[in-house]
Amino acid sequence: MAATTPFDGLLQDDWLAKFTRLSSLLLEDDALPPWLARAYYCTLLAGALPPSALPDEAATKPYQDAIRKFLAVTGMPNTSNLPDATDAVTRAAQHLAPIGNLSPFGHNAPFPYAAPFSLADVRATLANVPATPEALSKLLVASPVARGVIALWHSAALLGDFMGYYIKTAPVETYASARVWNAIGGNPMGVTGPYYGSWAYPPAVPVADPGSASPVTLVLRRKRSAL
Amino acid sequence: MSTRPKYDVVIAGAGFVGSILANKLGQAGIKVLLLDYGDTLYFDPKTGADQRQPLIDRVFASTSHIPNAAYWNEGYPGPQMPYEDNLRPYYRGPAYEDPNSKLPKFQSTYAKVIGGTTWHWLGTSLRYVPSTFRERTLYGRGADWPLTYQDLESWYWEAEKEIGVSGDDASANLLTPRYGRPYPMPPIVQSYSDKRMAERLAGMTFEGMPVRVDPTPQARNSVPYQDRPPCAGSVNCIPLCPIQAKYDATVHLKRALNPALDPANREGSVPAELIKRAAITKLEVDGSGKVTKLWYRRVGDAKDVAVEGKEFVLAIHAIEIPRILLNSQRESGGLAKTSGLVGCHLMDHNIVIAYGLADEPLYPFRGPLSTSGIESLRDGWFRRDRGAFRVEIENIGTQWAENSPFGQLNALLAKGLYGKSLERQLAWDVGRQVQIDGLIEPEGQKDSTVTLSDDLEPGTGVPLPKISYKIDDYTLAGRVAFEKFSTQMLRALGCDDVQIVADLKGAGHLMGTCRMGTNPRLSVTDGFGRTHDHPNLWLTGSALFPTVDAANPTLTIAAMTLRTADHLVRQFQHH
Ligand SMILES: Cc1cc2nc3c(=O)[nH]c(=O)nc-3n(C[C@H](O)[C@H](O)[C@H](O)COP(=O)(O)OP(=O)(O)OC[C@H]3O[C@@H](n4cnc5c(N)ncnc54)[C@H](O)[C@@H]3O)c2cc1C
Ligand code: SF4
Repeated sequence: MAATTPFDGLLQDDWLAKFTRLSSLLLEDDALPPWLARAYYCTLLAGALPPSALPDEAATKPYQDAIRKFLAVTGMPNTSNLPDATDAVTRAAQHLAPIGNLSPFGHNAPFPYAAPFSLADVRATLANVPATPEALSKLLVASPVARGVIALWHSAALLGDFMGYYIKTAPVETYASARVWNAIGGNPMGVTGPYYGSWAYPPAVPVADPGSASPVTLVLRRKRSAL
Repeated sequence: MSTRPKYDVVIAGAGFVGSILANKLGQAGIKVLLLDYGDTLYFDPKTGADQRQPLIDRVFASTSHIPNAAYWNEGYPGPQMPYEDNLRPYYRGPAYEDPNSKLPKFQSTYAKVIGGTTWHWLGTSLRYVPSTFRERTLYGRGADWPLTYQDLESWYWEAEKEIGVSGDDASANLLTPRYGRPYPMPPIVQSYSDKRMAERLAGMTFEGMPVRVDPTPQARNSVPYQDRPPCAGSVNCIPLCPIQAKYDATVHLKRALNPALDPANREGSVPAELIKRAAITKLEVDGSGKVTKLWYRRVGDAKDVAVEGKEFVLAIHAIEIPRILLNSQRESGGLAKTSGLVGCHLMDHNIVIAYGLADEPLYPFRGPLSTSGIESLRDGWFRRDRGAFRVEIENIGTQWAENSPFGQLNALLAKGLYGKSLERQLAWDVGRQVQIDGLIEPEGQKDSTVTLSDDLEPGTGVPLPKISYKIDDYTLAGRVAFEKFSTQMLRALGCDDVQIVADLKGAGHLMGTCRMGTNPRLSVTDGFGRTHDHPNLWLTGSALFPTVDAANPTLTIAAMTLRTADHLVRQFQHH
């Protein structure tokens, strides 16, 4: 058992399939792009590594190699944000520096630098994907892994508990695909925008109070009654 | 035997001021040497072609969308500066070192990279109102400037053309007379939310003053300008404009290093030389008070090197300028010391954030981070009693206050929402966000200081700046007024629950630390930035400002820099 494979054998296609299945349920979308699933799954696993797993370059390399191999089919094996020992160490040092444990708003909450779940938690969550909507909702409330899965698709990053600050970004190639921007009708920050002046108009799909009938339904209803 | 120095002008710092100055002096045939901490240009000096793609990559990989996300102070030998909540790599003093300290922190920083802080500035380019230059006389506050709005007016116009400002002549003219001189580009189109706000706030007044939502004059292209494209709405001006629709100092640095790239290139122009990875450590002065040498430490091999010149300019921004002055001839109290004011009067525009949820969708996260502001409350007799404020209206919802949209996403996930209902709720919660930031005008305090700490900076051996920052009563009174105003404004937009962030934030504006004036006992430099004590030593930028308005400083810095460049050119032509 001792010398296990990197990521405890979770970086395999059969586990990816389970990840994709859970993702589809959580996003209510059966047509998830496989290359994104692959990239986000790597990020989930990399986020679950405690910084102690990456004390130096030598310890980091097997993890990086495994991810490179796994990502090769996606065209992003050399992405700039693979697991990185120096990254884990410097971030930990910065946030734990005497005065560094203050959030940008002066709350005394520690700035998180590792995801609040382990590889074992990932394994347990993916092994038991629930079937009913109620169970899914419960799972989300209970499981940081499940929240991590949906956060990855929405923000191309794992989010910390404190105000949702990023704690681990997915390969940069996925940045523009984060679903949150589409959901709110916004432009992914930093992705060259649509065109000059686009911001003067409301977006193509207006938003509405989820508690009331959406404007789109109202329009359809009006059309129908006109017929 | 004295040899003639190789350089006419030695400029420490290839940031905003250094680049503009080097360009203008080089165009007049003056031989310039630039030195900077940074090591990468991100453009091809031969062709001028932009090369910022690696920076975009870093923004996408960054775990935090903060100003320094892309830059990391690379080249600089000290620690990186990726998180604004940990300022210790920059500053020392109890506020930064003692976790239990209740002292206010100076929260603004600067970029230690070639091109300087305009890489990640927002681009807001307002003029100061005329009364700011005579604030002591008119309102009994601060100190009068050694120059007036009239002295600077034509330079303001030149500066607007140099850096490319898009602005609305009519509304700007109400506060800052333009004498018929137009902005070089039409105003940036106001965002949907700005327009809704303007409609809903129509007719509103505050303390008898009109509340107008005006397009902000900004160094951001509304039409193609200087071979740079119009803004496309990439919502990323801080930390990095991916298409350089927003001005940054590389525009002028390219021209300085390769005058042929200057569209107004003149015959006889000479290129500036640039020494990269050069940490300025101190200046050397002869018996007559003239500066003879500037010392820097090479970052690569830690070797100390001196350069000679006729004139010396410190363009290293308002914390580093006093730091280097104090570190020169340290045994005898530093340079430019007659007034005893080097490092005093450290100011920022402290920011108060107010936010809430409007009763209709306003669609944030589209367009530049801010397209409009409320400038109409920036001047009046109230400035005898309290600081003025300007209001920056955000186009990115409550990103600063609440890490929107990720803060909201996180909260909804914790409640167990997923799928389409998650998306709908998120859209409704984020889509109605309003955030306004009040930039409050401070009054400089003598005991708000930059001095030298006992800790040496890793790699350069220069003492780190020790900051003792005061938030003055004038600011606090201005803050009370802004809180009253913001509550009134957000209520008018249908926000039931108006939130005001308790902590004051930094605006990124480092100001006041070497104030200029006519009296050498009360000021460090004259109106051109020449130190009273050393005839060939020039200081620059917002360090010189005796008062600072409620408006962002950089257009005024640009105007002053162009005026000083012109003055220096005349001086060289004379001799
Ligand atoms: C987040 C943010 C947003 C901002 N937005 C706005 C805005 O919207 N409007 C506005 O008016 N202003 C804004 N500002 C302020 C603006 O960026 C500065 O006023 C401006 O850049 C100052 O120009 P400078 O040349 O004096 O300094 P810089 O541009 O910072 O240049 C200084 C240069 O000196 C170098 N340097 C410093 N010390 C040393 C040393 N010891 N040795 C060697 N090199 C050194 C640095 O590497 C740098 O290149 C903003 C600032 C920040 C931080
Ligand atoms: S909105 Fe985008 S394109 Fe426009 S200036 Fe800002 S970053 Fe550049």
